Amino acid sequence: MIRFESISKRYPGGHEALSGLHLHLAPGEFAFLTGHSGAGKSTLLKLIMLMERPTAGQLLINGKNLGRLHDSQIPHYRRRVGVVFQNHHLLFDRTVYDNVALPLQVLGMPRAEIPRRVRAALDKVGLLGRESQNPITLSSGEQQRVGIARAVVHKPRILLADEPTGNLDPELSVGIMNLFRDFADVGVTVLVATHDISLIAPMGCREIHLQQGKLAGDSHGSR
Amino acid sequence: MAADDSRRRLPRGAQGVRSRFASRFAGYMHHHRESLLSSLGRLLATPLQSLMTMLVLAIGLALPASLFTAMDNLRQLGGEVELSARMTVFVDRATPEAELEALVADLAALDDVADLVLVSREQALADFRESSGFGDVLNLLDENPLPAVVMVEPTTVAGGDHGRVSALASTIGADPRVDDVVVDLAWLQRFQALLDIGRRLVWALGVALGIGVLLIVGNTIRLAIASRREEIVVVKLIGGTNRFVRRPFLYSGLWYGVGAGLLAWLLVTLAVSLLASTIGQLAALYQSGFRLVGPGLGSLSTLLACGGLLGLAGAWIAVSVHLRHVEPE
Repeated sequence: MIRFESISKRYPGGHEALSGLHLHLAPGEFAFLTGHSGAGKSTLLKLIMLMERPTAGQLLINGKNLGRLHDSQIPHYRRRVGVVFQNHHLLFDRTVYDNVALPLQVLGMPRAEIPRRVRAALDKVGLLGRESQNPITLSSGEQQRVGIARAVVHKPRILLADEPTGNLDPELSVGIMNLFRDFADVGVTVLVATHDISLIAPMGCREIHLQQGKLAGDSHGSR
Repeated sequence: MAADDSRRRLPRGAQGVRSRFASRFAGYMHHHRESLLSSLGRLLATPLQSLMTMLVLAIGLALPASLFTAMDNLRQLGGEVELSARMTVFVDRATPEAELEALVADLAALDDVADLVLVSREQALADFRESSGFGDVLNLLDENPLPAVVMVEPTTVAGGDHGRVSALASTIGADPRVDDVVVDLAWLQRFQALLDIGRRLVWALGVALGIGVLLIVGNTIRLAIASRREEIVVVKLIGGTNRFVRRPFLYSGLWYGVGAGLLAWLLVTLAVSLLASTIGQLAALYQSGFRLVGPGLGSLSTLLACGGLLGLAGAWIAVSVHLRHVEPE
């Protein structure tokens, strides 16, 4: 599903965030991306999101070379990818419902179909019944789950998360990680960047470890 | 993937393709409608601020609009004068009263004269007393200072020909009983020339103020973009196209422009209605039926269209310059 072929990313100024990275994630695979800050985790996710372009190598998503994608096609590509951010990027000028409905509006989905989809996504993250609240009134764990609902409401093939539990206590974090694994179980390719080793060890999932832009470890988990 | 899902569920063939296209189109139209309404909602959420912005824009539109209205009125005034474009023949005061009838008959016999009206000295005095407001001053004079006057109206053909009017004037002026001939046409021509210059100046001013409106809308939209940066970033990250992001801002610009057009029309209408009675009185003093004409419904639609277009264009400029810099990091 996601294939990195000797990908390098060098930023203007000479810093090489990724160098010669080879990586493959199968459809429906669940993997953690670990490493110190500055190891290249964020850069890797940005390459998949097409927020950055690699300086060398090929990035194939579902067999398609992203390097061939014109800038004007980027929005259409991004609609197939769901992203969860550390600071969740929720919009506080609208309700939980409107936040989650946003990707469907972007897709131009028929109006009648939106409420059902939004409710299904909120149900999945355990927030059904909170649609009309403003996300600012929710706890940080709940806000992060709204962010997850928004990332999956349009049923993306790929789900990326950048330090999704960065601001949460361990108990909430486990709940969030289990939620991600549920999506992998239904066929979504999930890649979660985190530095929280203690949290992921018990889960027994694949762990891709980056060090200074290079692959330093790729442990295929028990699952 | 949502698009694929729906594709799978729909029946194959033309029917399926058409219904998918139809539903996508419905979604597209829905976003248009929603952008239209949500941008209006945003304006109404901060009513005072929006009104202030619109007023600034409205003044920019109202200035050229009021000048155009003034030009229209002046042209109308000019038109009225043109209809009565005639020569004023001042009869020599030494000419005895009895000779007047003969003079009128002689003038009427001239080829290019269509019509004439004799105003006797007494009548001239009475008119002057009534309409000038200097009636009391006249009482101080021993004798009537006004000459008898014959108003000569040239035929329509001759009136349009500058040479023939001049020739007619000099023919009449050569008569010993005539003191002076004044042709209104020269004045009329100068008036028309001035009107032309005025029209050009108003156009230049209109263009300058229109650019001003464009820049104000552009700046307002730039601020709106800055304050909604977070939202734009999120929408871009979840696959919103530039057009999708742009749409609400363009509608905001449109609303600003249309609102400003309406306000400008109200301003000009108000100004005209305040001036109308005073100007009506002044016109009556000049024995003119002239009435100040306000901006009509035609001007309203012109102002709405101009405002809307300028607002849209201003927003377009702001959006194309500034949205590019709002990218997710």
